[in-house]
Amino acid sequence: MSNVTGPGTAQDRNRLFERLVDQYQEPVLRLCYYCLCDKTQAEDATQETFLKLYRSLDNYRGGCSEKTWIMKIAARVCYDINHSGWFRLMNRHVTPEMLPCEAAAEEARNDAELAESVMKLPFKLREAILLYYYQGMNVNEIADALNLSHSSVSGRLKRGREKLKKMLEGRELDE
Amino acid sequence: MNKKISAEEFRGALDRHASDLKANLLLAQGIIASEAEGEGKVKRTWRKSLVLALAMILTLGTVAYGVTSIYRTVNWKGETEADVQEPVLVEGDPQVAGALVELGREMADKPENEFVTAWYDDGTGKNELDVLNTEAYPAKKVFRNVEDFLDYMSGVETLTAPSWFPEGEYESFLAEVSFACRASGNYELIESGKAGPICYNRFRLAEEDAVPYEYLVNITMRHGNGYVIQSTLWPEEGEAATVLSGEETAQAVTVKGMEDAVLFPDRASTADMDLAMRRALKNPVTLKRPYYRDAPQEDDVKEFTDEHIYIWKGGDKDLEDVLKLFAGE
Repeated sequence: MSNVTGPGTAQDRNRLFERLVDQYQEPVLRLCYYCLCDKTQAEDATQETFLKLYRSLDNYRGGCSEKTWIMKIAARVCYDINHSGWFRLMNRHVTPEMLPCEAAAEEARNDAELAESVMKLPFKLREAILLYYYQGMNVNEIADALNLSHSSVSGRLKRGREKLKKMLEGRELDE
Repeated sequence: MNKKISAEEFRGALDRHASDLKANLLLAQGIIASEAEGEGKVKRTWRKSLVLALAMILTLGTVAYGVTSIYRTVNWKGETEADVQEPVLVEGDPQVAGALVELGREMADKPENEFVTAWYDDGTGKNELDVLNTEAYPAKKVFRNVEDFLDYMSGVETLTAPSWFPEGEYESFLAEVSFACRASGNYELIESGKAGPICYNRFRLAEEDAVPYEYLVNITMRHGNGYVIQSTLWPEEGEAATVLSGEETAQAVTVKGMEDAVLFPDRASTADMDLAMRRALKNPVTLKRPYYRDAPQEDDVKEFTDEHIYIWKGGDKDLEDVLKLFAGE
């Protein structure tokens, strides 16, 4: 697991930032997409995440892995967008990408069903499920990223798995 | 026995499903350059959404007070009717926003049958804060084919979407009827308090007593490789005018089955959509059933007088094609 260490010159700083963007942009983009259920919002949230990251590069002290640090920023950005008043008024659970095509293979249909189910989870459960199963973070890392207790994260994961199991009818996430 | 989905399978499925999301190769350079030049140089498309937020909040009459006039309302002919004061949202006040975020985080850990109503008293009156008031128990029904949906909506004859696409001309269909539910008058107050400058009441409702008090009906359809149309019945009565900002324009259009319709061909606030339209329903749609838990409630009647329509158009489709479709040609 690589970690950011305090950048020296401006050139070092920019080189470090470029590496982080290169390495984490797609994971952040996809996390934001599944958190916000909206491609354009996900792109905006990704940009906002890396803008915040750039501005806080000098403050990173290595208390957690760089992945946890970046996902923590992304989760915070998504949370703020998701909890803005107008966002709640929009139907963001259905996007053009989610509508199935007739020619879709079974695997694609299964993928779509799983993705759609994840996006239907309440935000707080979705966030935990995505960080755990999609980003591969452990419960302690998620608790740190979301400022929650270990038991709160475990509770959200449990409820998220239960809700997904109901929606997926015959499939469930492995604990 | 249920099939177990491993974390690896989960990641694979979500990655494949979102495989069209691509990294912006210029993101790092763009941010570095913009920061070198000073803040605000990076293109921030989310500001478009803020405009939509302001417009919607104005339309909905949520807490706002004005300073500068940069918006205007238009009528069904697309003509400007009045200037609108730019709202400065109470939620936009850093102290209030911070308190709301904290309260929101706290509520996020509460069971789903608990909700909070919050308000802010600025000395001129009690201002409800919709940001948290929408935390009521959410529920929805999902329909994947027109027949089931129309059966469920029996008696409702003025829905637009099915009339656009006669049977067989659309490729996929998804409808969601969403509710915000509260207990029928007997929910339990479990906490009253103050978080910074805002006050709140926290309630618990008995899920079995929950009844819907607000509906949103969303219909999404795909047509060929091009159009995806999302229609939202808007639970709002009265003024037909809508709010536009800056250089946005509006024009009256002819739409099959509609009495009044206005098109916003260049509306910035639609963000990822290509067109936005709004129409008055010829006959208000009244949902006389609760459409929830199949338990009729006499007082659970909602009237819709307005419909908002969002359209994504793909490939080489142009505006004329879309309008022809809407005109029934």
